[in-house]
Amino acid sequence: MKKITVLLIMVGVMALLVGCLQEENTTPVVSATENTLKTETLDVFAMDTYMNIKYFTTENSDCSQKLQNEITYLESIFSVTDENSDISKINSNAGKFTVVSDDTTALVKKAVEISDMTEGSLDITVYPILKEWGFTTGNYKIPEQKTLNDLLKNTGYQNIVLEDSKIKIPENFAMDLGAVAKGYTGDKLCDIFRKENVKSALINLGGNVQTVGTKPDGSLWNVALKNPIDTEKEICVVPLSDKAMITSGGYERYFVGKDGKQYWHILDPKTGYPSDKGLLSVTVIGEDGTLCDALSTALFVMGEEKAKTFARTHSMVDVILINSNMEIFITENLKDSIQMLDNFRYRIIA
Amino acid sequence: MEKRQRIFWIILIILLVVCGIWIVISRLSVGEGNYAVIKVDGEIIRQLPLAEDTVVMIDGKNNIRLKVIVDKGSIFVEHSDCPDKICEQKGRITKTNENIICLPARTVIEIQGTEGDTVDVVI
Repeated sequence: MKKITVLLIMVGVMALLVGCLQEENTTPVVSATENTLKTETLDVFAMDTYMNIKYFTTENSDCSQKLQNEITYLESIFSVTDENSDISKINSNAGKFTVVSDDTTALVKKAVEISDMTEGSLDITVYPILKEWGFTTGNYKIPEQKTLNDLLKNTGYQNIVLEDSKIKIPENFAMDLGAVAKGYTGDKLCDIFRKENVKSALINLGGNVQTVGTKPDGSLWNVALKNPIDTEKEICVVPLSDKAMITSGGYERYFVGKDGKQYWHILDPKTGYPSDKGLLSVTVIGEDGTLCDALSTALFVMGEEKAKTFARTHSMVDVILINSNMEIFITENLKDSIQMLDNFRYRIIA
Repeated sequence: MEKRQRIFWIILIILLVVCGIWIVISRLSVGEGNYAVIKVDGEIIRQLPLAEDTVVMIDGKNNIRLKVIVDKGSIFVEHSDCPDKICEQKGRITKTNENIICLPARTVIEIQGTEGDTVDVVI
């Protein structure tokens, strides 16, 4: 009897050993099936941000060069600091029409439409005020009220004139596409992936995330949202596919004034001051990256109540609002997919 | 007979212990896979395991030096010569796919590895 027991245990041990060995052996088999897809990553410093693009492709197709070229091209026409860009030409040519590229026409047109849709909460002509605050250079200062009042007279997106492929702004006006250019670039990169038949990509343009398809194993991309008052931690995770998720928050770029107050880069076009209407961060999720990018800024400027009203009446995007009491509000569509972390709770914007 | 049985048992126990240690070691080596990759202008210049506390100086672009600290499974920029200090403000990162970026120095610190790989990107 005892011998049989020993024998059984021996067999058990052998099985365990074989099991261990097999575990090791199976690994290459699994990766062999995944090996038909290659992981490619592309790091680019452009548009005043760090861009990280990851995609999965078959051995033959490599679109990194196409992606790089598109980014370089779009930066060369949208940059407000490059004097040869379309935007710089429009600005230096203020008062007269400037002939610009199709992409510039398309993006300015769309920005103006979104400005209308948000009652001016987005305004691509606040650039002179942004400059006065030092957000374009890093030489921060709190402007005099009189200076702001004077500069405010030279803003207003309604004054942008579009005519075929020509754009004109009034004299002393200046525009920049900082609030929409990254979203537009993301959309263009998604187009390249679709054309190249890439079915799985994650585009991160300095916090603007755009996803193509799912991960190669078919699961959704998991995008985590930072806690705006403790950016080392996260609030929630949103699983996504073929969508953009874009956040605007005061914590992204700010300075502390001599008065001890925090001043951030999202300005209210109506006052010229950093928008401070009860929100810490606004996240917009949807298929149109340019729209999400623009709306994340616009809804932050609108403030809590108006942003909620906007979210209720515009179903083409989903929204996550975090107010200064750290209360989290989401649109109903997100409630089945969103995963809250660390005891954070949400309320539905109803 | 009894002596032989005892030898059997001893061999068995040894086998079990060896197998047990093997399993533990193989699991551990997977678990400690998290490391930080430091890139300057897209080029990987350092790879630091997060399990080993250390301090490194990184020569970024534009003559900007960064003092980077690995501490208790996290990594952060303690000091940077850059003007905006956004990399210092970022604080500690601990999770796979999190990163710290110093734009003026064109330096990226990114956590890679297998542990906690449920989040693809943090914004």
